[in-house]
Amino acid sequence: MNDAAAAAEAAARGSYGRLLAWLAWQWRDVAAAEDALADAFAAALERWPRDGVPDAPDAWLLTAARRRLLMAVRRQRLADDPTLTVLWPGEHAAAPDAAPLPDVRLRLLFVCAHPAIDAGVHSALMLQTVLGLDAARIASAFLVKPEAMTKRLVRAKAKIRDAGLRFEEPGPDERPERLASVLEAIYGAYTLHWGLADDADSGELAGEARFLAELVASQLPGEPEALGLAALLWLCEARRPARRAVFQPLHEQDPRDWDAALIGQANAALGAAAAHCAPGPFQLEAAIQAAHTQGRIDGRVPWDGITRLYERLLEIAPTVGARIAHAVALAHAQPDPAAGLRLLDAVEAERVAAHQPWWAARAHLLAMAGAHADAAAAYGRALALTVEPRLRAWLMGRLRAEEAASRPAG
Amino acid sequence: MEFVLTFHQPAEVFEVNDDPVRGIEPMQAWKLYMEAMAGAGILRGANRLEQFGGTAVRVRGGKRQVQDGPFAETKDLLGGYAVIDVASIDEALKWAERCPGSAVGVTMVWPVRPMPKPAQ
Repeated sequence: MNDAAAAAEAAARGSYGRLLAWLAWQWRDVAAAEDALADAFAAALERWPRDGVPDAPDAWLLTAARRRLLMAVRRQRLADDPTLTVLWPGEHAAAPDAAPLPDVRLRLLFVCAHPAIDAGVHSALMLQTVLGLDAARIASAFLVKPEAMTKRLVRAKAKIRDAGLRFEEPGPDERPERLASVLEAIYGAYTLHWGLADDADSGELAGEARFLAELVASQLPGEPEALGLAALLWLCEARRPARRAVFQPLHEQDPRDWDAALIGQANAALGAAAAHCAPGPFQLEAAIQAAHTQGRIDGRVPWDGITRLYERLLEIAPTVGARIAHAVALAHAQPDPAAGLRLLDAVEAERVAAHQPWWAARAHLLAMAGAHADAAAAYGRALALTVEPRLRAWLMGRLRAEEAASRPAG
Repeated sequence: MEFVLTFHQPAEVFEVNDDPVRGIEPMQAWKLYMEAMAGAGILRGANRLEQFGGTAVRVRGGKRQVQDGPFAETKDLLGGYAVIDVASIDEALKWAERCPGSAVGVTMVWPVRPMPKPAQ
C-alpha cells in the first residue's frame, strides 16, 4: 500500500467517527454527512498520491466533505441563499488549520440511541455512524437480511433528520434513561461477537464495541454505569487470550493466560463506580465477572456472593440471561441442583425453546443431579442451537460423557 | 410467517453423510437440528430429497424436454428442505445459520407466498 492510501486508511480508522460526528452534528443529517465523508475519502485517495499527504489529513477531509455538503444543498435549489455562499470554501482555500476537532461523538451516540429511534437499530446505527462499518458487514454481524438492515438504517437516519433530533447531551432529567440506552446498545454490539465462528471477525467486532464503551467512560467519568460497562467489557476481554483452539469453560481456564493489567484496570473502574453508591446492571454484571475471575485465581469461586449479586441484578433487570445464570449460581452455592432446575423451569418455555444458554445450563444441572440421560438430551438440544465450532465440540464432548454415564455399568 | 429452508451441499458431503462410520456425527447433528426445530414448535414439515434423482421437465413451444439431474448450474446439490413457521425473516435466518449444512454447504431461506387453496 502506498503512503497516500495508508494515510487515508489511518484517517479512516482513527478519525472517521470524529469527522462524521462533527459533520452530522453541524448538519443535523447523518445520511448526508456519511455521503459527503465517503466522497471526501474517495477524493483523498485520488489526490494524495499526486499532491502528497496534507499536514492535517483530518482537516483536509473535513473541508472536502463540507464542500460536498454545500454542493448538495446548492443542488437542492438553495443556491441563492447568501449565507451559504459565504460559508462556501474556496476551491483553493489556504491549508485548513490543524486545530483538533472538538469531539462530539458522544452526542452522536446519544442521537443513535434516541428514544424516537427503534431500540432494535440503536447498536447497528452506532457501528455504522461512529465506527464506519458498512451495512453488509453489520447485516452479517446481526444475522439480518442485508436489504432489511440497509432499510432499517436509512429509516433511522431519515427519522433523525426529519424529526430534527437534538444533537446535544441530554439534560439532567432525561439523562439516566438516555445514558442507559446508549450503554445497552454498546453492550448489544459487544455481545454480537459471541456467536461468530471466525476469530478475526469476532475480535474486531468486540474491539469496536470496547472502543465505544471506553469512549463513553472517558467522556463521562462521573457516571458509574458507564464505568461499569467499561469494566465489564475489560473483564470479558481480559480472558480473551484464554480462547484457544478448544473451548474452555471459565473454571477450566488457566488464570495465567489472562490479561492481568486489564483485570486491574477493570477493578479500579469498578471501585471508582462503587464510590457513587448507585449500583446498576452493568456494575453488577462486572462485579459478578470480577468475582468469577478472582475465584479462579484464589481457587475458590464465591458462589454465595455471586448468587447475591444476581439477586440484586434481577431486582433491577430481570433478563432471561440473568435468570439462567442465577439458577446456576444458586445450584452451586447451596449446593442443590434441584433448586437451580426449579428456577430454570420457571422461565417461560417459549422464551427458551431456542435459547442455547438455557439448555446448556439445564444440562449442566441435570448432570450435577446425576440425571445423565436427561442431561445428554439437554446437551444435544444446546448443541443444535450453537454455531460456534469450539463450543459445539465442547458440548459434543459433554453429550458423549453424559451418554456414557447414563448407560448401566457392566 | 412460513419459510422454506432448502439445504444445498457439495456431493462429497452427501458421501460422508451416507457413510456408516463417517456419517455418524453429521447425521446426529442433523437429527438434533430437526429435533430442536420440532422442540421449538416451528417445524411444519421436512424431508430429504434424492440429491441425484431429480428430473427436469420443460415444455417450450409445445415441445417437451426431459432431463435428468444433477443439474450443472451449481456444484451444490439440493438434498432436503424444511418448512418452518416463525415470527420473522430474522428468526428464519437464525435457524438457517444453525443448520449443520450451513457449515459445509449453503442453506437458502425462501419466504412462502401463500396461494389460494385449489378447489376440490
